[in-house]
Amino acid sequence: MGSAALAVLRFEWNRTLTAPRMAWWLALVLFPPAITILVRANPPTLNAEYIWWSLLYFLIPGVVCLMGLLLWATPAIQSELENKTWIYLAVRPGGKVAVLLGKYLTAVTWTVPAGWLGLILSVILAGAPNELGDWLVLGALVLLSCMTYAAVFLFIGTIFQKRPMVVALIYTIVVEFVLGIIPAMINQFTVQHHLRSIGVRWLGWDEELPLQARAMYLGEAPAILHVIVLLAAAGFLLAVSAIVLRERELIVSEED
Amino acid sequence: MLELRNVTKLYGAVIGVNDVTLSLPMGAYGLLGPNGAGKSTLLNLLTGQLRPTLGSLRVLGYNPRNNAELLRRVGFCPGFEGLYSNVSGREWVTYLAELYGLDRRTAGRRAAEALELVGLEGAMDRPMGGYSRGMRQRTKLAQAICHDPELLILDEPLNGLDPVGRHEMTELLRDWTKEGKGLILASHVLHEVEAVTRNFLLICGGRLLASGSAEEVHDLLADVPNEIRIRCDRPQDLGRRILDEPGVEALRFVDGGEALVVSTRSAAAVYARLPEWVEASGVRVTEVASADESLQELFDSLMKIHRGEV
Repeated sequence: MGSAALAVLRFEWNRTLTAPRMAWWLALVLFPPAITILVRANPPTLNAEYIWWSLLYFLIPGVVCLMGLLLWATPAIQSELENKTWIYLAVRPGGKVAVLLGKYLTAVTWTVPAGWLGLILSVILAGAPNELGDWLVLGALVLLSCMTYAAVFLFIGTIFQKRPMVVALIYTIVVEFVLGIIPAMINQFTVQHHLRSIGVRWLGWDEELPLQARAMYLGEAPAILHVIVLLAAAGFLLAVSAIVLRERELIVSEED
Repeated sequence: MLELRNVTKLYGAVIGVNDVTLSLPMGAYGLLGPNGAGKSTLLNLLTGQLRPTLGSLRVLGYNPRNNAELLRRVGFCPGFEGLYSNVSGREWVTYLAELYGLDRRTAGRRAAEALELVGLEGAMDRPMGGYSRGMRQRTKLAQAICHDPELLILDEPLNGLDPVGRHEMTELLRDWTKEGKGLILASHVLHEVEAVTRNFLLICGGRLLASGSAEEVHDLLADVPNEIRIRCDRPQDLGRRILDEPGVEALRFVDGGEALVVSTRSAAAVYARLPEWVEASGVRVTEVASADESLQELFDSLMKIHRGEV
C-alpha cells in the first residue's frame, strides 16, 4: 500500500509540473509577501510584533494553506471520476486507498513548500520580524495546517462528489472563519481553534492574554494535546474517506 | 472461471442486470448485446466495482467486491477512454503497473513490453493527448495486460481501430486465449467476437438470453422460425414451389422483388428440398443465406424470443 501511494504521489507530482499549475503555486507563494509589503507601507506602531505574527499566521497557515488545499485536495477524487480515469485505479488491488493516500501526500507536499516559501519571502523581502523560534513555530503551523486541512478537504471531496469545491468553500467560510472565532465551545470543533491555540502557546503569548479571552479562544489544554487532536482528526478523516471509497459504488459508464 | 447465481443489479428502479445465472469454465467468451444491454454493468460486477442487489457471484473462485487478491489476477479494459492528455503512454502504463505492487523498474519494463505487444513501440513516449483513437485503445489494452493477468475483461476493445488495427488486435486476443487464459470480450459487434471466440453470452435488457457455443445456442432455436434469404432471377416462380412445403410459415419478396425471404421452423427440410425446387422451376440462384451461417441471425432470433415476438 505504501509503495502504491508513493507511486500515486510521484505520478501526480509529474502531472503537476505544468505552467498553469505552477502559476497557481507561485501566486500562493507570492501572496503573503505582497500583503506584507503593503502593510509595511503603514507599519503598526503598537504591539508591532504581535500584529506582524498575527498577520503572517492569518496569511500563511490560514489563507495560503487553506486556498492551496481547497484547490488541490478537494477535487482529487471528483477529477478522476469526471475524467473517467477512476476505473483504471479502482481495479488495482488497494487502488482506491492508494489513490486517496497518494493524493493526500501530493496535496500536502504541494502546499507545504508554498507556505514555507511564502513565510521566508515575507520575512526576508518585506522585513517582517525575524526571530528564528517564531519562524519555526509558523513553519510547524504550516505543516500541521496542511496535514489537517488536506484530510478535511479530501473527506469533503469524497463525501460530496458533486460540487465538492462549493461545499468546501462553504465549510471554510462558515466553519473555519465564522465558527472558529465565535467565543464559545463550538469553536473547539474547528481546525482554526487548535492551530490558534498551538500558535499562541508556542509563541509564548498565552500568558499575555486576558484569562477570559484565553478560556474562550484557546482553552486550557496544552499545545501538544492540540497537535494530537489535529493529527488524530486527519487520520480519522482519511480512514473514513478510505472506507467510503471502498464501500461506495463509483461507476463511470457510457453504456448503462 | 465465473459463477453467477441469480445475480440482479438494480439502480433504483432501473434494472442493470436481471437474474443472471451462469457457470463458465476457464476460456474465451464473447459478451454480446446491443448498447444499453447491461454488458458494462455485468463487467463492473465481475470486477467488483458494483455489488449485486440480489444473488452472488464468484470470479476465479473469489467474491470480487474489494478483493485485492482477485484484482491482481484480472486485467480490465473499460469501454470509455479516460486517459490523461499530458501523460505519455509509457508513464501511464508504468504507473498503473506500479499500483499492482510491482517495483518501479519492473513496472517500467512490463509497461514497455505491453506497449510493444499492442504495437505502440514508436509512440509510447508521446503524450496521450496526441494519440489517435486506435492508439488510445491499444494503450488501454496495454494497461490491462501489463501484469500478465489470468483473466482479461475487455469492454468494446476494438472500437476506433482501423481494419489493420482490428486484425492485429484480434490476432493478439486469439494468441491470448491459446495460452489457456480467460477472456471476456464485450461487444455489440458480432463479427468482432466471432473472430476471437465461438463461445458467447447474449445479453439484452439485463437478461442473459443464451450462453454457450454457437452450436449450443443454435440448439435452443430448434423450434424458432429461421429466415432463409434466397436471391435468384425469378423469385416468384421459386416461391410458388416453396410455399407447398409444410414447414414454411411465411414468404416475402425483398430487394425490389429480386430476392425472397422464407420463414420456416424446419430450415433443414427447406435446404434439403431447395435443389429440387430450383431444378423444377429452372431459376438461377445466386445467393442463399440463412440463420445457420450468421451469429447476427441467431442473435436476432433470440431477441425476438426475449421480446415475446415468437
